Amino acid sequence: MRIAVVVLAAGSGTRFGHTTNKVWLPLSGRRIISRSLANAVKSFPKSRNILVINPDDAALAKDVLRREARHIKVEIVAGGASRHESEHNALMHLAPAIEAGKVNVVMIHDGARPLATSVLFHDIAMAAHHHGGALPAIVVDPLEIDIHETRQIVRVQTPQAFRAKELLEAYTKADRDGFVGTDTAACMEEYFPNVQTIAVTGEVTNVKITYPQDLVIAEHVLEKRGYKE
Amino acid sequence: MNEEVTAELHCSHCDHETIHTLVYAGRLLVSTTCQTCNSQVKHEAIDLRLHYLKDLEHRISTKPRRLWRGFWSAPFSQMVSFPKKFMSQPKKIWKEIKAILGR
Repeated sequence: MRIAVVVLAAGSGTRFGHTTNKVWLPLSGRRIISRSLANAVKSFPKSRNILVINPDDAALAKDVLRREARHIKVEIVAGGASRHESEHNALMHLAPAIEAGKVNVVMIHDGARPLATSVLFHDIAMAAHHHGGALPAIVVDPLEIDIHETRQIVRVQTPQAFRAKELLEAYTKADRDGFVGTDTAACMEEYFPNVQTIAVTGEVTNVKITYPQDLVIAEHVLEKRGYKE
Repeated sequence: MNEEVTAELHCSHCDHETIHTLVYAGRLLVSTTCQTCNSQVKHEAIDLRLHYLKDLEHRISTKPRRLWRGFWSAPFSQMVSFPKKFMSQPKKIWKEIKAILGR
């Protein structure tokens, strides 16, 4: 398996010297993004690692990577106005390698999820390699959504991984058609509904830092893990 | 590290993304405050103090390894910055303790 790991961190950039993008926040001594990146690449010693950032954060990214992720070889790509556009830019950056067969699986991860473990990344990559696509999902009690809801509902997380050629083609077609997906799987489903996407059991601790209290939860999880992952 | 940083987070009170001020003591988050509605999220005081002591213990116990790693990766810059960093430690810890006790 020849894998490329894409970590998305292209939210709003630095304004008046102040960071506004949460992925650059400190979390137990290291930036959220360097924790996401370190966990993402841990299982893949030969992966190509792409960090998608807001161009306004370029200086900050360079400094953080030098201090906290010196051991990881990272290629920086400028993100777009939406998540979909950032994914598209990363895939265009990887296109020559995908077309040459040097990358056959692409894994896309949200930089604001610093607690996804290296085991989850490994399982998702293996499932995508064997089946075509994979994503982590957590089963939700449907009654939490609506008391009349009877269907089984799952909460989808990242990392999401797909076979590289199909993924590149899906994003190329989406660009041509003006289609914007909510996540990687949505775009694949639109253009390759026959590609099997396997749901791997997600991790309850794989929270996306969204609310202030998520940072407190993440600190506690990291402490329980001995700050290892 | 004893600092204030700003970031966009989703405020439960405003119910949209707003700029928040985050205060850290060492590696720990002390509080977050929404700049729009002033709602605050804090660690429980006792919990934070215990958490801080445990964290400080962890920082001290791992310091030799982290210093060694720093010297190994960038020996010259580490040698230049080490005396200043060493001298500033008591002041830094004092500021952290003040941030935790004075919240």
